[in-house]
Amino acid sequence: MTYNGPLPSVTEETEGFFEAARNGVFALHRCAHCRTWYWPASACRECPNEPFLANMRWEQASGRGTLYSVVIPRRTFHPAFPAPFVYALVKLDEGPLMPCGVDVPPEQAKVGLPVEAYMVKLSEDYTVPRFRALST
Amino acid sequence: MARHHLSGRYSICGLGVTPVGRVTGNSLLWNEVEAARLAIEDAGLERKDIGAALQALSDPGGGMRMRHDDAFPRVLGLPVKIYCENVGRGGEYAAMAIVTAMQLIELGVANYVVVSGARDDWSRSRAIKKRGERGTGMAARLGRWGHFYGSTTAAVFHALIASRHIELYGTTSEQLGRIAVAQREWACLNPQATMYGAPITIEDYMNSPMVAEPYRLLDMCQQSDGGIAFVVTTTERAKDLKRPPIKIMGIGFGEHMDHLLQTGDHLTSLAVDTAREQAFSQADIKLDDVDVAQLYDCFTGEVLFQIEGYGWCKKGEGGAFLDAGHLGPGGDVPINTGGGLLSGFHMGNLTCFAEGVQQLRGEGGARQVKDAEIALVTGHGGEILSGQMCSIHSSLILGR
Repeated sequence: MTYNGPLPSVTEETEGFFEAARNGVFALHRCAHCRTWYWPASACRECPNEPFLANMRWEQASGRGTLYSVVIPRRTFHPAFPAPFVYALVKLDEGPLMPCGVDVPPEQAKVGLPVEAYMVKLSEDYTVPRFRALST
Repeated sequence: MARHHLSGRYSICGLGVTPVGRVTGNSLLWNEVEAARLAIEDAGLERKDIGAALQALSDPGGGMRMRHDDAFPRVLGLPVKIYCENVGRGGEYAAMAIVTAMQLIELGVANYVVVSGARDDWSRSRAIKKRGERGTGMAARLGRWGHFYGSTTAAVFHALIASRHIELYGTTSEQLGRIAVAQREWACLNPQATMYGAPITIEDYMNSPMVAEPYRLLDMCQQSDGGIAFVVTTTERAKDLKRPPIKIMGIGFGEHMDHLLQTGDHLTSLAVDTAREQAFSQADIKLDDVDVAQLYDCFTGEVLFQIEGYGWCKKGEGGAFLDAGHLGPGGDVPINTGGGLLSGFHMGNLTCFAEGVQQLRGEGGARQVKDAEIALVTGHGGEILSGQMCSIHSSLILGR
């Protein structure tokens, strides 16, 4: 089915993330000095930063995490997202939290559930990660 | 401890509230104009007295409110030396506008500053429903983070923080419902409230449909059309005017900017701590001195977080506090005495502000809290990552 919902508003600061996603890579912002991971685009909070945050790069991350806080919309707010569906904060293994669509049945969407990212193409130009239950 | 030297030096001398609620037909601009006209008249001033004007408006989430129309001070013919647009962030307008107004007066730019804010969420939500969507139109073709996962409306991402509180502290739906019921009881004493004459019980709350689980329909605020304006001047000048001065005793701010998505800290609180300490110490008061509290309540969770944050109970014990029945008419903690945003109307924190002023003036009618002398008015808002977290918090202490 053709996706007919809103597309990401990509900025100079976030295009590295979406470019990686288009290439099938789940990327997080990472400090080249201390190797701390961040999401979304951030200055490093542990190190003095280089001019224009040159120390921060988008690097491939595990794409794994656990559900941290879960919301289940029970009403359809937009035709592209028929209710019920799962929207959750995912605690990434690298540390940061990412609010994201999670493709598990609502009754399985419990805090602590291990999940993994996979890429979903929304249109010719836009691909975004979504999460699903970690395959064992 | 002594009061801050500016505490009590400035006052609110006029308040204007248009018909507000599910009232379609008037534009944002026309509501700003009418509210400002009413506020100037309420103060007993003339338009020629107004030296500065501020527009209380913010970009609510992903839906930019592009303005192609005119500005309210020009429509009214106010001889202002300065007009600032978009003073506000999320639902916080009053404290930011008052700080700006106080400085303009302190610097001698103006003697009287009018602040006017309007919203058209009710009309916009009707129009959006016609095209098969719900909410206030945040899901543009290009959206902020979250929109392309279906987080197209405030209820979805705000529910994340309530869900976390439930997970951490065992808070129940019924406990959140006690906030909704208590505020509806207040609204039923307030003819201005959208839900005036529509009482609810805790059973009604538990039977109300899940919208964005854990939030039910009755956890969510109103969407309203209307405008609210006020005039700021020195307390000295205000004493000679028509209305009793409502003094600005303290203003504080807090931000949850850092580490929200890095550590998850602050997901079950608003940025109350610094805001409360600054405002309370400027006014030299304690929580016990607050006679009425108008807490920003876009959803029930925000009220719960503030009950804990301001110290009516300890962190995590808000659920038990609500079970004990402190809220509502006749309770010992008068919170959101006009019904708030949940059951009154949503003009950002101008809703909280207007109710605070009305209570201190003794204009509360059936909902008047006896001998109210100190009001706490809070604000909340600001969108980071499509508003997963609203980062700003403001505490405003008003006194008579």
